[in-house]
Amino acid sequence: MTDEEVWAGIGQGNREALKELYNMYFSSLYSYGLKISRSASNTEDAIHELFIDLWKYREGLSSTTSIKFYLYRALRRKLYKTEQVSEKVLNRSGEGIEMSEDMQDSVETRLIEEEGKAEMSTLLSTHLKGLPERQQESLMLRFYGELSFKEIGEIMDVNEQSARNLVTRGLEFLRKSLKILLCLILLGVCS
Amino acid sequence: MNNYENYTATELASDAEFIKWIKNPKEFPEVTDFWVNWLDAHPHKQEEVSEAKELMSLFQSNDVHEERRQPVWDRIEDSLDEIEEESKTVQVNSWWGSIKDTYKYAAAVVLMVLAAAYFYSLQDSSSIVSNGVVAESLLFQNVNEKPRTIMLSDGSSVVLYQNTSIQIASAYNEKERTVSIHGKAYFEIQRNEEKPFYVQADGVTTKVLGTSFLVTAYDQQDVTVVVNTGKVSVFKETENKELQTEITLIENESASFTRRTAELKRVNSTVENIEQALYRDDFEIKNKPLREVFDLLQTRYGVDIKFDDKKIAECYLNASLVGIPLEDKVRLICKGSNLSYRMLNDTIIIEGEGCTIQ
Repeated sequence: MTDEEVWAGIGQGNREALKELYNMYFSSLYSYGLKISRSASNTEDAIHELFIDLWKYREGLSSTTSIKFYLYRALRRKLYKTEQVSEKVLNRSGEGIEMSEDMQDSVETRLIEEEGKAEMSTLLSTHLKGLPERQQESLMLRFYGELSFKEIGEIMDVNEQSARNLVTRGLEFLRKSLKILLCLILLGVCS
Repeated sequence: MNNYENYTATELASDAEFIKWIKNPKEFPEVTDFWVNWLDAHPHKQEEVSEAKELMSLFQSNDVHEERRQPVWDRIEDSLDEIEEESKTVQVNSWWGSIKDTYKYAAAVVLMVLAAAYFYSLQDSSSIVSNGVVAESLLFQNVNEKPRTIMLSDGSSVVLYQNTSIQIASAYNEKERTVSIHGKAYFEIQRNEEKPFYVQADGVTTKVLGTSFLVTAYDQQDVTVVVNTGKVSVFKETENKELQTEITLIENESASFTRRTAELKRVNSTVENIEQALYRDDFEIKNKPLREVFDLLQTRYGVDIKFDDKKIAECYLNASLVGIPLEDKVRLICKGSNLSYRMLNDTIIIEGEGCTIQ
């Protein structure tokens, strides 16, 4: 079934179509939800509510809505509502947290602290924790959701360019912390 | 096409087509082909590509979530079922508690209107005068050749044959359970010792606690009662509404009332009653595939049963369903085969995973 057929099927009250949609998006929605809420039960509750609402209000759905966009935006709203996660305060330009030298230092410090831990993977996931929330979320939406920058902007309530910047800065942050990690491990010369 | 040659690792990792490739290399062959060829043509970009892949692997999670897919869906389906049920019943359950109050009250009103309309369409309420007694009741009829099954509020079922009508006192199941019929009907009555079940048929009353039997009461013919399972007491009504000449029947016994002589007597029958067998021998199920059992129910009870052939293909039933009301039959069948059922008007919907070998 194509996206359009599934959408139309749901509008007509076809439960199989809803199930099809669920199966198409379950994995990525779950991963996204888990990453931004850090709670499996909240994620599951939100996904549950999401599909029930979709079904209940199916007659109001227009065929021009991008399904993927709708699902991610709705999921995000539910997760923020349940967790009462306060949105990070945006700086005046609305571009989220700027990557600063201070931040880089703190990453280094944290990594040095973590050096005692054996697992490389633990260190890797630490990278993610060090990553500013909004940048992390934008990466989730770009990678799991495969959403356009425009869509990411609408979901996160910023303009398209800001969304682009969030993703870029997020990746830059990860790149730098990855390099630092490799330096530490190889005890080589760091640039 | 983007000029990927100048892309840094970060820019690659942000690119939609690149992401598509790394996430699902097998799912989109054209995308994979493009990137593989591009990499061949620009081997110096290998380092950037590796770095981009590495960046992406930092936030790619393991697929431990797959095991949650089905349980989360099951929960959604349960809620969907509840939504469907509630559009047909008056009951407002706690699931509604999460919805804003204004919606809840509006919805409750809508539900009640719907429920009233639903029940209204089912019944012809009429007053009956029978030997001086006036009562409000529900009337059901079957004018067709196909049997029609009525499910009573206590779980009992009555199969109406052609040209048969049944009147059910609206106080049914309060202190006692009384119905009257004209025509032919097969009863499967839930056992309740505190509330005896009475069938009135043209001057013959049958009383049971919980059993199955067939009553025939057409114009100008003898009224007969044939017992399938259990114990049944049969009376005749005199002019002053008294019940007399009690005859107690057990399995396979029958009684007959001749109008002309007003005589009620036991019938010594060595000839097997064919109709009774329809609800007796055929429901001693020995290793039958479920599909056949459902077909049998559809024919004998005149109900529609919807089921998934694939799910029940491997299901077999080995049980005696004789004398049990229809709903209980369905419940027993489902219990043994990992299935569940829902009733919607005259349709029974069978759901669940069934017996397919995974």
